[in-house]
Amino acid sequence: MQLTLDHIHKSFDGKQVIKDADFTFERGKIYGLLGRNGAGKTTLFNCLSGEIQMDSGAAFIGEKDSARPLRDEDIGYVFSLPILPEFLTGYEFVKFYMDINREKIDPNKSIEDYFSIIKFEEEDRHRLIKGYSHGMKNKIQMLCFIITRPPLILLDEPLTSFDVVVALEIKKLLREMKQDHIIIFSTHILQLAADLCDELVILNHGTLQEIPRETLQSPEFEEQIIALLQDGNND
Amino acid sequence: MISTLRSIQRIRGSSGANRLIYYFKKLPVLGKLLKGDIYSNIALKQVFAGIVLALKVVWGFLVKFAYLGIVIYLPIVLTHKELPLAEQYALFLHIFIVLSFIVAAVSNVFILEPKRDKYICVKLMRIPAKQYMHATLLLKGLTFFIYFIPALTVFAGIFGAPLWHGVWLTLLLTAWRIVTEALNLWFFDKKGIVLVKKMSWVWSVIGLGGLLAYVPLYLGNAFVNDATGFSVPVSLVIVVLGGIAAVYIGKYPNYRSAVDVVTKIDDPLLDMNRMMKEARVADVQTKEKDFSSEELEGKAFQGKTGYAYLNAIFFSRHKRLLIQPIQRRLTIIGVLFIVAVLMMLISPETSSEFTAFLLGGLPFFVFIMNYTSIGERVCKAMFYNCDLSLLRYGFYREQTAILDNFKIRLIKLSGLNLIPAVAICLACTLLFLLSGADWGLMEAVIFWVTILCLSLFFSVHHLFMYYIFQPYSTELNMKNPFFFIVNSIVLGLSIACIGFPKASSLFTLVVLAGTIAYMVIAVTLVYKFSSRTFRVK
Repeated sequence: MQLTLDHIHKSFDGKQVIKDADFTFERGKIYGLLGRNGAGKTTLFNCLSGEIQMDSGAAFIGEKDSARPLRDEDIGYVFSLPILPEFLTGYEFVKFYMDINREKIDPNKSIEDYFSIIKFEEEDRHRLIKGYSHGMKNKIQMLCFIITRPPLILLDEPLTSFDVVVALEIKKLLREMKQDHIIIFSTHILQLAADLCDELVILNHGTLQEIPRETLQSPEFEEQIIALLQDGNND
Repeated sequence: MISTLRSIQRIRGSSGANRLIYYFKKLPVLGKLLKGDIYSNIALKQVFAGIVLALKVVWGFLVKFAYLGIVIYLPIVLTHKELPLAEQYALFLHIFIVLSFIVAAVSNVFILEPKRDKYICVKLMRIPAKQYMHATLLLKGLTFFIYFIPALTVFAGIFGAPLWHGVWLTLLLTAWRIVTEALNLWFFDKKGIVLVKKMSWVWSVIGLGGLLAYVPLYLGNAFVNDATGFSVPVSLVIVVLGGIAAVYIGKYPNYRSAVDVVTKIDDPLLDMNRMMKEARVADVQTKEKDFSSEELEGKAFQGKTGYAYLNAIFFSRHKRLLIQPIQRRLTIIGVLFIVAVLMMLISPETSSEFTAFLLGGLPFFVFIMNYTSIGERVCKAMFYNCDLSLLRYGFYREQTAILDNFKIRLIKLSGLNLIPAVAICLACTLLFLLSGADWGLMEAVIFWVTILCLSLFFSVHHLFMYYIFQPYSTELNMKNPFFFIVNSIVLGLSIACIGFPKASSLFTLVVLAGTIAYMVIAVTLVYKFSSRTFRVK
């Protein structure tokens, strides 16, 4: 299975944020989408998730010869600012989410099982989401895609809000899950990308550019990436 | 001082220009003419800054005319056109003196006013507080004086007073306001209290002053006349005090703290928008301490699943928000009912006229039912507390999900709105029966059907508007112009109903047909389009 971005364009107010993004992502890999602040990482994710309309271009998902347009339900999207209905408790939200996705979920797992997968404390489950910390909200959002297992998972700067212990847990979780999914992970933190991701894609000046795998291991990795990111700024 | 003034004007100029450009870009067609890079076009921005400055000056003069004209002149000519000009002028002076010399001196303070401009210039741009205050005070004093002269002279002229009155009065007012500024500053210096931020004090003065200002309109004669207002000793005292106050203000050493105290970053008075936003949000928010931990365990909702589960929790957690307005409406209906019964006992004639009006006044109820509906409030709560976050999820935007949700909400909202509707029906029925009016079963049925139909109509209306136009933005100010247009049309129609000929059965028929047609159209539209229109904008 693969996700194909086909010449996606998006501009705001005459400013081209995404120009001709053209790329193929494959299942079983964690992609790091690296870009500077304001490079358009979130815009690209929002275009894919249907949150905003792309100006032109399209995204397809499926096997090479039987790809179809990407749909809302193919995507699990973890926002950098977690957005959850605050009048519910974490437990209620997850139960509601499981209810409406009943046909997509593993019947052998209970709501408690799911909470223990993300190591969510028992006593926190029945508190209003309103009082949750940033990291807890993010965990709940991650749980959504663990439950429904959509083929494409978009994570917008997720690990930045976790403490080291939780970040490690989540990293392990993502590695375990990657066989069945295409995981794209946006970040501006280079070490995080290098550490977790199998492939690195740079979003610079609205275009996507793959970093060769060898570069990831090379000692000059950092300098090379920085050079790439700065490159476009002088023109 | 001149250079400080110039830099302050430059800062104000560019922020004014930016604001003008920002709002210009929001205009439907014209806004598209300006590109995103306009903010960096210095030359064009200077033009905009010039326009803003010119507008400000024109506005400065106009505001004074509007103030004197609408707040003072108009009430006088509306109530006492018959009085000789001199007495009207005395009334004018009276109101003017109370409002401008007393009320405004308390509510409209300049030196200790919380203001963004102050924050930007002193805190961000680091202009020394003393220089900033001196420069802006000078500018403010001069413009205050200049803006007032034409308006006051014109209105003095209208009342047949000599023109120098206008100029002299402006001078006295300016001098007096310097005195009150100095008093405010002195009080702050001694006690550390900013009077203008003490809302109870300010609003008491505004309330009492307003009363004092307009009492003579009822009595028909003023407490002052131009002899007291313009007597030489009084004028001299004010001018001399003004001079002393100006020296005090000029020599005041501690402007830094006077600025600091009113430019706290979290002061809501600094940012009107934020204050409005917080007020609106507080209107629809839940509080965590409203719930016990057992309630949060959610045993009560266990039988429900999916959207029914979600909505059951939503309505239960927002009880305060939903029950309160219903309670208020019931209280109003109850009080009015008691008043009507008392009236029946005390003055049967007025009461029978009143019942006759109610009996024939079914069209009037269209208007009343519009305001009895809590639909708008509920929609706002649903948007801010629930849909705003959930609409970010793909599954929530799917058509079946939206429709499921819509159905549940429509039933719940209609049910809530029916409570006051039934109360109105009961109250009116009892009144009619007690009054002994000629009111048979047929009329009763017509009355009940109409009221309940109207209640249903407004439930559908508000929810339909919400799902089709989704008027709220993330900050809860309404965004969609069509929402206003359709809403105004419905409001206009409901007002127009008041003029409907008072034949109850025909009216009921029209209402019945209208509401059913509207409901069918509304629900069809929601089924067809809501998956596209129901989004966060």
